[in-house]
Amino acid sequence: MNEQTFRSGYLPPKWVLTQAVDSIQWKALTFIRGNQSVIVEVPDLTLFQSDSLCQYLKLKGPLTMKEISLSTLIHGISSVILKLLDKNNKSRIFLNENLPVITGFDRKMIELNLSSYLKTFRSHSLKSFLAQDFTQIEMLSDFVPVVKGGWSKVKPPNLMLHVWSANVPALSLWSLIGSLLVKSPSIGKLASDEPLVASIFVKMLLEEIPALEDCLSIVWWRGGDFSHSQAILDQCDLVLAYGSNETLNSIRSRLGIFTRFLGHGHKISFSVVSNTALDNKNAKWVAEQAALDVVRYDQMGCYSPHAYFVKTGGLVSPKEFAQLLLTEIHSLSHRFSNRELSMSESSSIVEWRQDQLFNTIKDPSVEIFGDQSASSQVIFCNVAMPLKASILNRNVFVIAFNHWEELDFCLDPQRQFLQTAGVAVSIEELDHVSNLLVELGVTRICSVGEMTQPPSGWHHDGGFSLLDLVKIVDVEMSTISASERFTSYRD
Amino acid sequence: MSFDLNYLIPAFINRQDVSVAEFNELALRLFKHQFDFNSPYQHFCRLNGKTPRNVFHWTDIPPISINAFKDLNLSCVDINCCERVFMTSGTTRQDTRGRHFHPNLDIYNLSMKSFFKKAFMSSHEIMPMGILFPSDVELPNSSLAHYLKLVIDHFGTDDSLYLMSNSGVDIERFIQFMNFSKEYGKPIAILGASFSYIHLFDLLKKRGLSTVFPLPNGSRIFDTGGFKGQVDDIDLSDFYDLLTTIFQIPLTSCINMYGMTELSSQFYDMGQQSLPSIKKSPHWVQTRVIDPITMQECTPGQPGLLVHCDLANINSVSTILTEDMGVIVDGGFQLLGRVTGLQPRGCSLTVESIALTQYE
Repeated sequence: MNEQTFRSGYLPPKWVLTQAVDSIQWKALTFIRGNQSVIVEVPDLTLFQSDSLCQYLKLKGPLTMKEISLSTLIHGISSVILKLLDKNNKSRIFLNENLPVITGFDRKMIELNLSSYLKTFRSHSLKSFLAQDFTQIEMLSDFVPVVKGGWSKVKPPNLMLHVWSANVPALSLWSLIGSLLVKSPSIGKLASDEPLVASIFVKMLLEEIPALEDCLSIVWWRGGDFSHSQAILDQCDLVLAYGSNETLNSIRSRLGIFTRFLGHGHKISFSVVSNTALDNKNAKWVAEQAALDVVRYDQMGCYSPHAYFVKTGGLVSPKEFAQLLLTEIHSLSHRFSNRELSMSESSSIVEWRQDQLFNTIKDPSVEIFGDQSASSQVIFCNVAMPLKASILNRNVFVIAFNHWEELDFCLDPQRQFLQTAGVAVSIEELDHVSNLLVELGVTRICSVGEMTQPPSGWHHDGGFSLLDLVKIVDVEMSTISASERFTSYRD
Repeated sequence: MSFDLNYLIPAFINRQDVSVAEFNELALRLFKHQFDFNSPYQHFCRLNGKTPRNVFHWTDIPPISINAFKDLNLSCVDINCCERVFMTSGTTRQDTRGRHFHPNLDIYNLSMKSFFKKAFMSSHEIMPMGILFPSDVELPNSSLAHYLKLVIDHFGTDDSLYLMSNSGVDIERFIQFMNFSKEYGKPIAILGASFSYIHLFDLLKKRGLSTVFPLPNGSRIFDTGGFKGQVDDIDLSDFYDLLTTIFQIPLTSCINMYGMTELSSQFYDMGQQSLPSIKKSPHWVQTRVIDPITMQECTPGQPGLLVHCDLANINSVSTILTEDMGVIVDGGFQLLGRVTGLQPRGCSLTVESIALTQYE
């Protein structure tokens, strides 16, 4: 067996020197796929160490961050990203080789998606991020005049905690780069299922901006075990967490009332295809794009589609679209094979598919395209039905409907969970359909084929990527007017 | 046909020396019968491309998942003509309970009694039995309650007692039974669901009562069901260590039964001296292990999902795809635990959680 061991995580070296020699424990996480095995060692701190680390970061981080200019940060981050985009870079080669073993995703899928994802963090995109949330970027370092009068300045958290999940590799970069852009010192908690990308990014970033060494830490604890990490939860001003709704609840319940919490929980996304998009010319294109959304990371993202609602009346019927979609998914499968599944996952898929079979027995409006043991399946329903969660891993619903208003019946039951809607509608319909979807709780509308690739500056779950991380401090107009009275040169 | 099977299957169960070929022949006959008369199953088979015309071996019979018992009426006769319906406790999908229809319990009872005698009673004809489970009067739809009623009726002496009701373990009766066993001095048996024992031990502790009750030599303890969803993380070896300490009997006398509402036969081990224990099937049940990805049979030693072909399941479907992971070993199979469903991998909503919100 080909076995590799390496250390992940990051602890400020000067803080490590304050700890007793060899007192830091490293936990080995083992990943095995076929004849390859990867052992990742991650820092597993004691309660005392967690507390001491937070105090260190709070003492050093904010001051150091203030000294580093925004352009240095943007340049540094962008340089790391450009290196990672280079296929010959040794860190990129390392990720390409090890992420498939760790996550089970196909290597080609990782190579392609990682590159397209990393592009979101190049210098010009980072500037878009900032411009999206701050009318004046100078606010991040100085008080600036604002339209209502007076001055405003951004105050980042003294210390922010990121709790990452592993459904999509490199997910950690979204929030980590966000916190850097607003100059917040951070502790990141690695996901046990993908403990790699965040720490590689941080190590590369420190080569670009060595001054950041006292502003960041990347640690690990077993999910749900807060016996040691409570010290971290207690000392952060802001906690941003990705994970199941259960995980988010358990974190939120452990926070003080003044600690802000940003939770990105479980969501459900879908697509809407109008009959206007289903003519001879476009139907195939729509199906190709839809298949890309399904295949990218095997629907593991919150923005990945569970179902396609297809309007009747086009030259290509919803049923024909379902068949077309399956064909396109299959043809993509030749390039990108399915993620390797655990016994538990594949049993669930078998069971879910059998459940769908039982549905076809009970309900003649349901049909299944694709074998029971095929790599993907399309469940077609020829009458409008409420959105249901698919078992993911390239299993998707196609649901026919006749009138736009039926979408209310289909989507309302899941209102609180809706996130992205991929749409294929004509420009004449776009405004109406978008308004309808917004009322149902959707927070992002994009073209089919783009569901899994949100642009820089997107509003994740309707929130701000950067603005939500910080506080805005105002010096009100009254202060300025009053202080005029106290100048030595007053009349 | 139905008459044939109602005669052939009991005859097969009653025989001692049967060949694999004979099992196969009867399994195919039963499959054809169920294909012809159990219409949802026929539909299911057709969707899987399987009919009696292309099924030549019992391993070709399409296994149906236990969820089918929740969604479909799997019966070869009108369900209104069934004498008994056993229902699952609904540990996996809270909304619906699986239903197993029995026109009569003749074959179920024969199957139960034949293998129980062999696997549990050892050389004894009857023994005093203490039952740590509510009676079948209290739980008329529980297959386990019916099973334990058969135990008391056919293998228990007149001193046998129910030590539990719907409201919990009856501690006075338990003490009474323990006192009796001391005086009796000959082997007795205690039978119940695994979690009943935990309730019993908790209760004894809470009341400050003795927690050691040495049983007469040769006594036996029976448990079934495991702990999924009932009690937090109890390690099996800890559980059996507890049983042997409390009742002062060897691990070889602790017998675990593996059964399910969707089947009409049970599996037993020969004690818990090594875990996981090896479960044995009666000769009218064949068990195989499949790889859920390919649905193909696993090689011996390779873990997968258990599929049972139970000839006593005459009225529903003979071949059941379980949610239990197992591995075929010499002398039987080992249970490796239950497949708990797809674990959420981050921010996409899962089937389980969405089902919960719909029924909250």
